[in-house]
Amino acid sequence: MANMRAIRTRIKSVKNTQQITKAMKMVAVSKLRKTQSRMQSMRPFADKSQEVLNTLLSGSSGSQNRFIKPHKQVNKVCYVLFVGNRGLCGVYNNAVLHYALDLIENDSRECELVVCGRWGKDVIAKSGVKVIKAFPELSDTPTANEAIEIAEYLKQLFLNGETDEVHLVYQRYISALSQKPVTEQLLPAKPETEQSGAGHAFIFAPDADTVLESVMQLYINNKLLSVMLEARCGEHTARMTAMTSATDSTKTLIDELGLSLNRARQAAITTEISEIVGGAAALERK
Amino acid sequence: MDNKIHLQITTAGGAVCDVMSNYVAVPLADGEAGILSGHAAMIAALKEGVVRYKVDEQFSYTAVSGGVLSVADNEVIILARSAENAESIDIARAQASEKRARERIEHKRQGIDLDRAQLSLYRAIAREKAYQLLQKR
Repeated sequence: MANMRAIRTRIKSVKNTQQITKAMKMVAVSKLRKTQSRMQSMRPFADKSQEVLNTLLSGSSGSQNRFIKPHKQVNKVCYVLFVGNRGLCGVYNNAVLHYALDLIENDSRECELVVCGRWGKDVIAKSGVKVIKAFPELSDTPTANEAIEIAEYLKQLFLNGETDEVHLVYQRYISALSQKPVTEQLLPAKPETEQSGAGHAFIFAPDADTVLESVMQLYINNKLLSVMLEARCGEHTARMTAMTSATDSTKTLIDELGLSLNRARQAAITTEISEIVGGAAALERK
Repeated sequence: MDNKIHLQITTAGGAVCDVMSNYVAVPLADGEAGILSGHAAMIAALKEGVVRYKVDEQFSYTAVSGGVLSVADNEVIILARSAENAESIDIARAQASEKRARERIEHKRQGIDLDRAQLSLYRAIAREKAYQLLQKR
């Protein structure tokens, strides 16, 4: 028979855990909402810059731009890995890390890693991949300025010839329940262009190439921000799901423990009664 | 609404300004350009500087740090790397970052990228200028 006091203590500690998981879930929900609203507010900007880019690329020889033109020989590749800031979010971090390590293993070229996010410094170091830079101080709701900082670094890397290709590795947000690790090439940029029907005869000032340079700068910053937001969205969702199921498990556990507590109490009462009855019977016999 | 042009300044962080304006002056590579309603379609590269725009005889100022400008259908759209309205500029911070950028350029420390330092200097100066313009108004 389980000790009643032990069960009570256990229930108390499980309840504490439940409070923590509940709070973490709430935090994840509010951060998710904030990230999503950031995503929304950058959309008009992204649409407009895509529009301008379409106009520019349909007209001129955009392939000569230094961000679009591929390097002649691709010897060094840089993977930018987006992980979360902390754990407790299911397989989110591990899945993307393994995906990245697989990619690097299957890549015969020289690979380097740039890590964005605080999680897993030791795990990544243990994997033996060369980490050239880490951005551990990113907030949970990425801002445009953070994206610019990383984008500037990556652009420098590419333009100085320290790397020949830059790929982003992150969890693509598909729905609240599923995310998929994917990789996308950032540099040299491969801007998708659609033929825009509205044909204004634009004046370019000072000339199309200079404007394209400016647009490409924006385009790359944008791309990075949208990936960061998407990755974070995924992280918050994953944590939300993990914490919801944790809270549910604590509920089941508390129910089970309550049941065995009642049983123990009942057993104790029964013993007591039978002792009293036994005692009374012994007195009567006298 | 006559003789006005729709001005939108947006950054990746969201819209900074969205007004109907009588006159917009923007910093381009070859100097400041004024835009009135009915301007021809244009796409231009924007420099670090101050965008000035007039709404009902009152000028407003926004510091921008590079980007692209597109004019079409009586609409000026400024896509900026970052933008700050003069009202919300923290002058102490701007001055501090100007000082920092100047030091960096002077010392030419190893590992410091001169172009970037130069750009951040321009940005800081643009912010200060927008602030001063607002004070003078």
